[in-house]
Amino acid sequence: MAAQTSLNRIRSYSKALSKNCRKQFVLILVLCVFSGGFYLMDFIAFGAGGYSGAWMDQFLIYATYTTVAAAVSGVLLMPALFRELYNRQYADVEFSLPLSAAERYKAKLWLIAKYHLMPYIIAQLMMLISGLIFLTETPASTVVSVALINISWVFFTDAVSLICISCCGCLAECIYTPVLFGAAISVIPVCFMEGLVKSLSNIATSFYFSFIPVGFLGITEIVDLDTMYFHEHILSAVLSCLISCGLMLLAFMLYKKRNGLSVGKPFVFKTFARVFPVLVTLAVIIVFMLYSFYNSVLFGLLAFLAISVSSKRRKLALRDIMFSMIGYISCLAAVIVTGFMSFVTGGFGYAKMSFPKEFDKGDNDFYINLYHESHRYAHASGTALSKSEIEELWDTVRDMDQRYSNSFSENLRAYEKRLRMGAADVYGIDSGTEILLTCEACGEQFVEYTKALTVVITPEQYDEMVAKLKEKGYKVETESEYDAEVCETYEEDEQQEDTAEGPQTEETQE
Amino acid sequence: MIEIKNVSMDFSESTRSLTQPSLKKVSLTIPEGCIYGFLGSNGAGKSTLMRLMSGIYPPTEGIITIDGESVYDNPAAKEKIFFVNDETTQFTGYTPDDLRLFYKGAYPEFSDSEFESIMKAVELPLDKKLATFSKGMKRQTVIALGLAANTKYLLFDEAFDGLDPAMRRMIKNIITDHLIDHSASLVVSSHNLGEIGELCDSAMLIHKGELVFSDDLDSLRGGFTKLQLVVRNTELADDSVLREKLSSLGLEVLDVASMGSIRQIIVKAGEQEALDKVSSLTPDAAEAVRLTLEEIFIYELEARGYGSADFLK
Repeated sequence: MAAQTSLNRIRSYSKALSKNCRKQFVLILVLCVFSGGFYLMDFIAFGAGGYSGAWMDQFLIYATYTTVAAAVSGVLLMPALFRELYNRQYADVEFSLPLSAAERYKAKLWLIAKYHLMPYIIAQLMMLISGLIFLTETPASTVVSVALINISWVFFTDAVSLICISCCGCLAECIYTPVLFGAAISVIPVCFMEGLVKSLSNIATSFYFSFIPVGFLGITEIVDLDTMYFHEHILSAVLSCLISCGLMLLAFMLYKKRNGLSVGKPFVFKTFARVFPVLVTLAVIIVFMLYSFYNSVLFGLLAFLAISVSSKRRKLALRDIMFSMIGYISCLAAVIVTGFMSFVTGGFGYAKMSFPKEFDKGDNDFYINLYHESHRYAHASGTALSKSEIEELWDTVRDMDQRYSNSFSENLRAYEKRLRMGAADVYGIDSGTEILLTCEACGEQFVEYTKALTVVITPEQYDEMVAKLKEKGYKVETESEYDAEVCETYEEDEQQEDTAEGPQTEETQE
Repeated sequence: MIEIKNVSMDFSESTRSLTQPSLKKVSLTIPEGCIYGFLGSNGAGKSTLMRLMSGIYPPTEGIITIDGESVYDNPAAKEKIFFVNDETTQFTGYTPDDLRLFYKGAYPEFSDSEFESIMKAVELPLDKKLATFSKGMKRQTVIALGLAANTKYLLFDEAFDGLDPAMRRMIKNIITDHLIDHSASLVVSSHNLGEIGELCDSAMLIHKGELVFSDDLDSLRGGFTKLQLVVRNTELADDSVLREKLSSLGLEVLDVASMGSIRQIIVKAGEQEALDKVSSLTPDAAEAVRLTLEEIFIYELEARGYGSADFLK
C-alpha cells in the first residue's frame, strides 16, 4: 500500500514536472529525428559500399554530429528538471513537498528516460534496423556495435550531467560542469594513450579513433591495446553503459544529501570542487602536450584559473589564487612526472608489447629510414615478412634505444628536450642520427595497420645496424641509390601508363 | 502539534555567507487549531525557522516534530504541512491550473473544488500564466493552493505582502473560515503587527536567532505595562536612578522616558502588579496602560539595542 502510494506520488510529481522540460524535449526530438534520418539516407545511398566504405560520407558525418548533439542535449534537460538544486524559490517549494529525496529523484529519472533516453534509443534502433536491411556488405556485428556505441553516449552524458547537477548549486555550474567534465573524461584516456604512452615511447600507430570518443570508450584504448575495430566495441559499449548506470546511482546518493542549504553554492561537495578543476586541467594539459609543451603550460594554467575564479562567488583573496596555483602546479607536475616515467620505461612497457593480430597473416613489410640532421641518408626495406621476423627487427631497433641504459640525468635531459619539441613529434626527435622503423601489415587492398618506432642512435650503432640488415639479406641503399631507384620506378610506371593509354586514345580518335 | 526542541541553525557551516541569520537553541510548541504569529526583526530567523519546520533545511542541532514525527525528509510528516514562502517569482511559466496539477500530485487531500471556489472568489483566471499576474494576484493564487491542499498546518511567510487592504481582509476571512472548517492551524509571519494582533491567538518574538518570548496574545499584552507617573522626589529626577529604583522594587524595566514632569516607564509586568510596586515611590499621579503588540515589539527589541535611535542623538 505504502509502495503504491509512493508510486502514485512519483507518477503525479513527474507528470507535473514534465511541463518544465517541454522545450528541451522538442529539441531532443528534432535532433533524434535528424540523426535517424541522416543514418537512413546514408545507408540507402551508400549501403552497397558497406559501412566502412561510406565512412567519410557527408550524411554519415551529419548523422554522427546530430547523434552527439542529441546525446549532449541531456545537459540542457537536467537544469530544467532539477531547479530546486540551484534556485532558492524552487527549493522552498520542492523540498517542502511531501516527497522523499528518493521519490523526487525517481520522478526526475523517469522524465529523463521518457524525454531523452527513449527518443534517442528509438532513433538508434531505427538506425540499427535500417542498417541491417541496407548495409548488405557490412557485418551485422558492426552495425550493432555502432548502435551500442551511440547508446553508450547518451547514458554517459546523462550520467555525467546527473553527477554534476547533484554536486552544483548554481545554474552556470550546472550547465558548464557536465560539458567540461564529460569532455575531460572522454579525452584523457585517448590523449594519455596517444601522447604520454605511445609518443613518449617514440611509437606511432595507425590512429583508429575515427569515431568521436565520447564517454568511457577511450578507456578501452588503454585496456585493449589492439586496434579499435567496431566488432570489438560491443563489450566496450555495454561496459560503458553499465559504468554510466553506476554513475547515475552515485548521483542519487549525492542528490539524497542535497537540501535547501546548498542552493547558491557553485560546488556543494568539497571533493567535487577539488576533482573537477583538476580533471579539466589535466585534460587541457595532456591535449596540448601532444603538440606543444609551452601551450600545455599556458592553457592548463588558464583552464585552472578560469574554473577556480569563476566558481568563487565571494571576493577573491590572495589565498584562493595561491591555492589555485598550487593545484595547477600539482597537475602539471603529475603530468610531467608521469610522462618521464613513460619515457624511461618505454611507455610503461608499451614498446615491448607484441604486434597486433593484423600482422598474423604473414604479409608484412618494413622500411627503415636513417636520418642525420633531419636528412635521410640511408634506406632499407623488406617485404612479405612473418610476424616473428618483424618483431625480431622491432626488438633489434628498440634495443638500440639508449634511454634504457642511460643514467637518470641523461634521460632527464633527453626528456626535457623531447617535451620542448612536443610529445607527439615522433619524427625528427633529435638533431643527431636517428633510425625510423616502420612496420606495415598488408591487407588485400590497403595497409591494415602501421606501427613505427624512432630511436636515436650513434654512428657505431648505425654501422652495426646496416651490417645486421645486410646479413639478413635485406636491401640497404644509400640516399642517392634509393632516390635513383625511386625515380627509375616512377619512370617505368609512367611508361607503362602511356603504353596502356595509347591504343585507347587511338580507339577514341577512331 | 508542532514541537521545536532546542533547534539551532548555523549557516556558516554550510554556506560561505556569513550574513545569514542563525538560530540558537530555539524551543517552541505550536498547538493544534491555533493561529500562531511569528514576529521578529529583519533577518531574525523567522523564515529560517519556517523552512526548518517545512523540512527544507535540516537543523544543525535539535529536532522538529509534527504530531510526533520528525519532519526532515519525511513525506508522512510533510503531508501535514503547506509552506508558502515570501517570494512570488517561482512557477511564473505555470498557469493556476498547472499549479493545481503540480500540488495535487503531491498532496493527497488536495481539493479541486475548494481551489476553484477560492479562485472564483478572488476573481482570478485559471488559465493565464502567473507571469502575467501582479504580485498580489500571485500571492492570492499561492494562498488558494495552500488552502486547497487541505493540510493540517499552513505556514505562511509574509503571505499578505502585496495584497490591497480589501483583498487582505477578504483573504483573511477565507483563511479563518478554512481553519475553522478543517480544524487546521496557521503559522504566519508578518511585519504588520496590527494584522498579527488581529489574526493570531499566540505569537512569538525572535531576535538575532534567539527566542525573546512566546505566549498567547492576551497573556503577552497583559505582561507589559506602560506606566505614567508624576514623581516630585528630586532624588529620582534622573532616569537612570529611577530605573534602578524600579528594578530594586522587582520590576523589569524596558524603557524610561521623561516629558516634563511626567515619567513614562515601560515595564514587564501586569497593570495591577506594576501599580502596586510603584506605589512605594509615592507618586503624585500614576496611571497604567496595556501596551499594543507593536509597542511590545518595539520596546523589547529596543531593550536589545535594535532599532534604537541613539545614533541620531
